[in-house]
Amino acid sequence: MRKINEISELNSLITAHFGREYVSNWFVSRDDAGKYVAEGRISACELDGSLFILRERESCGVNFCSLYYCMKKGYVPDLSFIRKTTVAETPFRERDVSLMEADESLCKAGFEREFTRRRMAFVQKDEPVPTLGESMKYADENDIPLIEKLLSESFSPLTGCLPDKDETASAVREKRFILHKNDGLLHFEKSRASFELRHLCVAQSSRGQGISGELVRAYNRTVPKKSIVWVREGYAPAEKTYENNGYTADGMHSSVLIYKK
Amino acid sequence: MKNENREKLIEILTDICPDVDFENEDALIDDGLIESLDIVAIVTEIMAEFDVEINVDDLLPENFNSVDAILELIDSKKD
Repeated sequence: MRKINEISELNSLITAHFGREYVSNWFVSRDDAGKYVAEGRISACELDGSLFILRERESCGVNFCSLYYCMKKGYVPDLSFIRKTTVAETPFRERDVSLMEADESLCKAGFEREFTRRRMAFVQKDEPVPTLGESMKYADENDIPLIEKLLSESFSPLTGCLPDKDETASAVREKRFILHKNDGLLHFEKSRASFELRHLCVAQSSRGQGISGELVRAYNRTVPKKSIVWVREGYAPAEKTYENNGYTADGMHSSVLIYKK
Repeated sequence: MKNENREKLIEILTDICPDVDFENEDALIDDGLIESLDIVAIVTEIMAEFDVEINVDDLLPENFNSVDAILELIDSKKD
């Protein structure tokens, strides 16, 4: 593996590995890619004409990597270049055969399938309302320790896509954390096309009281056009919460693989 | 030639995203009608069918919001 110091170097490598003979899970935005390179977190290697990119990550004190690939179709890589636990995520629709085959290739190489997510979407039919209602508020700076506690209790550092300190601080500033008293939390992102509900959790001691549904309904009312959420397949409480609040599967899935070191 | 390219592009796009009205939509990315994984598939096919090289730098939402924007991108790569 070699460290990538310039975004132009990374872009040239990826461009050289685009084409019909390749399959890729490189869906990282240009801004994010530039940020990761500037922070010195990206390294890459070429193996038999395929490109592998590792992004160093840290979440709740756990160091690990995310793997991106521009891989020749059918190629099964030798994973000896991976030195620490690594997560590979591949979004796909059922018609995206080559992405599903790439996923299989990584499993043959030694990755283990952790779980699959399915995406659900909510389309706003009413006029959005900016206020949240009783027991809810947008988190402020003083709530950051509570946010970190609730998130770390409910999500895996490896696969929970947890925000780092900077991301948490900016989400708080931009009013993208909704709190239910001090026992429930909903975190979302805004993109060009839609809102994305990223995290929803309730403290262990307060579960079973319908708080997650209340949070989703309060959030839904604020959504301008559309909201999406990735839900772990087979995790009935979450699937039910979203189904009961207007979310339906939109045909997109995402496979989450882990290579443990 | 322009019409031929347009038809060829719409055929490629429809193969990848069969449910989208490419003739009339002009906010394909902004409205979430095509996604990141579609863009990678579209670029792959465009590179092969139009014999152009598209850089990762070109993968900007504004280059993929409409058929016209994509055709402009292809034309700029042929100059």
